[in-house]
Amino acid sequence: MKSRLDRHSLEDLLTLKWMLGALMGLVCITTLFNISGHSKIPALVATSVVILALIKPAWIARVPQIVWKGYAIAIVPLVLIDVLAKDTIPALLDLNTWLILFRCLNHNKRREEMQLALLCLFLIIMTGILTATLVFGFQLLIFSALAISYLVINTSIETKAEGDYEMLEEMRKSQQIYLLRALRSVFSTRIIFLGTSMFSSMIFVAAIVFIAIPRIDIEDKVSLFKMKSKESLSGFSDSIKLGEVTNIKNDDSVALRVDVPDNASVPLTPYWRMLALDEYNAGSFKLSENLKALQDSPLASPYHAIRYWPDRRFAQSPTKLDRDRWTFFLEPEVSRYLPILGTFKHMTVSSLTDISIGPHMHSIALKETNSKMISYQLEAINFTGVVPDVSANSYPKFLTDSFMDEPQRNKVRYPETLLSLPGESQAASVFRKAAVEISEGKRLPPLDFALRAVQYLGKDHSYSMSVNLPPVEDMKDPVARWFSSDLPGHCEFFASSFVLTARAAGHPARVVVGFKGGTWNPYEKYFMVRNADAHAWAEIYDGAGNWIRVDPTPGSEAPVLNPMTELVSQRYGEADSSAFLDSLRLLWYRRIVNFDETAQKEAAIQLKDFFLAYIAVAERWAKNAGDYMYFWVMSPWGFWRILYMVFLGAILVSAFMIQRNMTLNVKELILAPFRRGDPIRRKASKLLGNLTARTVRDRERFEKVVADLQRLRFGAKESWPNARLVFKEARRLR
Amino acid sequence: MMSEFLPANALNESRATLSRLREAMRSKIKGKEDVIDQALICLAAGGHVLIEDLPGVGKTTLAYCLAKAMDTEFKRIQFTSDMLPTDVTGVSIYDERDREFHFKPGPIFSNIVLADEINRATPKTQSSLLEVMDHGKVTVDGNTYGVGTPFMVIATQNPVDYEGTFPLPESQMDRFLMRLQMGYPDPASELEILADGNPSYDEMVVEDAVEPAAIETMQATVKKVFIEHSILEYMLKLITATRTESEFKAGISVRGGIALKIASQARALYLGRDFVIPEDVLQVAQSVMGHRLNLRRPSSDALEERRMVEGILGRLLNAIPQPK
Repeated sequence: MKSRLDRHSLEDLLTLKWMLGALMGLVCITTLFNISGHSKIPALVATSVVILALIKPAWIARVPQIVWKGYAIAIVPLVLIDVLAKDTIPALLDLNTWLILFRCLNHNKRREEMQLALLCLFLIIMTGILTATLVFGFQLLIFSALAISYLVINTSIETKAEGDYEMLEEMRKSQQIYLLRALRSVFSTRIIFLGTSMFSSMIFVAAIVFIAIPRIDIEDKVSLFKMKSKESLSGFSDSIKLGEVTNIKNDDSVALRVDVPDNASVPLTPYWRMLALDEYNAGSFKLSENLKALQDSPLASPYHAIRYWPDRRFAQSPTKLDRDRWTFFLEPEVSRYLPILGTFKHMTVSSLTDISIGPHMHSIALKETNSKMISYQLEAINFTGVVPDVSANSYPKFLTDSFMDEPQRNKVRYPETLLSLPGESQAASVFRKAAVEISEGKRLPPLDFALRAVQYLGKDHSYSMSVNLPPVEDMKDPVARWFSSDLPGHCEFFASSFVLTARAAGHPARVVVGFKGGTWNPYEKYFMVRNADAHAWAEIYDGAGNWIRVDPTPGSEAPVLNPMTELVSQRYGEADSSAFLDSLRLLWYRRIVNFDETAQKEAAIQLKDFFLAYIAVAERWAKNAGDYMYFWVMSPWGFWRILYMVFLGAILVSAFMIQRNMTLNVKELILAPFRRGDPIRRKASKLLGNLTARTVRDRERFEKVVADLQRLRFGAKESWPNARLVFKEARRLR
Repeated sequence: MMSEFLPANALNESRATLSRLREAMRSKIKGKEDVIDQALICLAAGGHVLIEDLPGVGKTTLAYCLAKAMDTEFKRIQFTSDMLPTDVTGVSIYDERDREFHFKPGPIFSNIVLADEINRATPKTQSSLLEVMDHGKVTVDGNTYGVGTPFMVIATQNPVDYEGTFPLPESQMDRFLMRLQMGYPDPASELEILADGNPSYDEMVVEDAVEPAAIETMQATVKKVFIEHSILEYMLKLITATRTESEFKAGISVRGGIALKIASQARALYLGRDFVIPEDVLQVAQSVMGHRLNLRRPSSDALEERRMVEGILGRLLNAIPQPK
């Protein structure tokens, strides 16, 4: 590669170096956009300045030296303020951005090149640890390609110029940087081929290293990197006001991806349950204080789960049993409560200390909302719309009492909250009246009551995303007001009304939030659950240790114990381009991010098998080819056969010669019959026109090329030089 | 068509000849590179030159030097109004002893002929040059004699002094391949000339003079210089444009067109190429075509007329697109 690069003019190489350096900086800076929790202003400023510098290199070169000196000095107080105002990491990122911006506009000398490369590397490692998204993967690939070419070009310049970097500066000042021309002149098939092979071998080595090295979770080891990479959405917290879930529905981004085994059967409409809420107060449901305290207490750790769920396991590695495994990939900043489908036998999480279990509400929460994509696995899922109850006294009282503040002792506490009605007597009576109406004075079984109540609700109300409650009359409670009207409403109204009605009839009930349904992605066979799928429904206690799912929103399936399922292979889905792009993301998660040790072993074994199989195929092919050749040579040689071979050889030789002299590209060849004159003469004339009036350093070579082109244009055909070589040389001059 | 293949050794030989001539002339004539170039192009093309300029700017020196550089014979004819054609071509004289007419060749029987102040001769005498300039032959009393080879006429005329002159007819003008202006040398060269003393023509010795045979080879080579079709079309366009231009009395003749072609070929060879590029045509066009054109409304001043013709011609040259 070096010898080939040596043939290019120093100017072209220097130009290219400058451009690659700037591009490298640009790619690094753009990785900052992945961290959505981070201030975008430095990255935006730096990106636009670098792009400007790439479009108009001379403008940047015209900036006097004093400005850069001032800039370098100004960075110090800027960063100091940053450090004082923010955390270390954002300040460090900002500092790095400013430094890269400075360096990638001014990198002439050798040490400056090294600085630029190091700064870029540092930034890309930082952002990589903080985000690890699919986009980052692409950015990393581009960065490595750019860095390779940057270093190669620098080596070549080093051997060629022996450290004459002043030239570059002068070139920039005299506006002699023509990026595209430099690129065109240096690029050739050979360079592309060599570059591609270098790049792919680098990727190959990286892949091998990736498969081979032991996993460490850097986030656990370095607490510095705990930084938010995405803005948090309100909602799905332990206290939800009316309309908050509906708000989430406006966001169409994917919140959850669920990877399903190939031969599994899946519910027709899965309900991804996140959290149940019991305490009702003036239009909002929330988790009662004692449950909340319990969820945050050490008693909620998975080690205590054996106390109330003897048949369930929580572990950091999957079981060896042959069971369906569903893998959940939860996007950052959705909620700290993990969406879960039905009941399960085994849950695999990356770190048991990170989760806490609320057994009463059947919810599993992270210690805090995840800032990176998190994944977990469930085994042996049962799709019934039923979750088991855990009795309130499953903990000795002395254990749970200590987690409560004094003033709350006189308030209604957990088990009682399941039956509490609005404090406003008028509002409560609305629900009591309805309960009597539904049950017709009888004591109905909970499931029957639920069926009737859902019908009752559907009679007066239809579904609508937006609700305008009439102005305040004599009642304050919004749910009661809506319930007593005939307005359409969203899922939260339906769920809340149902829960309150059920409570009025004496059935313990609670509101559940989570996602309903989701889009089936046929490319990689998984559920894409979007924020727009956010939903609220209800659960009613059956009096026998089970909570039955009831979705009172119109258009949902009636409350049943065993909802319908279907096979994965029979499922259709949305096979559009956005689904395809999303499936790439799942691949990324599945293979790159969520790469644990077993998967690592599997991949290594697969890779080995693949190579062995490939070698076997190649061996067989070689043997067959050898046999055929032997047979071919040994078969009798007649006159016609020899003639045929000679003829074939002649065709091959002439094809080779034609190819050698092939000077026109396909377009020119096709258009030649429709145009006047000789196509080679015309091409020469075009190149001549391009070449004239251009300043070149290598005068002698330039004149030789021009003379050759003139000969091709005006000279006798018998005296033509090899047109292909002349054209190539001419293109290189440009 | 110029499809005759030009052998590489002929090309190299001609190149060598031309560069020898150039070096020889440049060493003798200071500060007139362009005129030397044009004169050599003219020689290579086998054409004749008309030099229009004031006396004493080196016309004769140029002609003499050219002759010397080629190791050929040089004659000078000073034209006056009482000159007769036989004074140029030669005359048959009756020899008493042999009782026969013997042809006594005139000064035209030479290789390089300087026809000084050609416009001072009567049209009759001027016309005696027509045949010899066209065919290199002289016919006297029914007998035809060939003049020397190579043969080149370098005529001069004074454009300012018109008293008692007979302007050259168009037919005569057409015989000259080029019209050149000598011009004054630049100050530096003139200083050199002044400092050099004043060597007489006889003191002018060129070592390593080019033998006449080499000149003939060169002239044959010029005819083989390749002209691509689009360039011929370009020449035709130029010629047609002079014919349709309303300011001119008449356009370029067919002979003029051929002259343009051969001059372009000669320039290409002079620059070491075996093919013609548009630049060649453009560079020789003014000197080849300028003297063949006359204004429809003649101007009283010859110099002014010349300038106007050059201006119009320049406009035409600019307007007609070169083949690319």
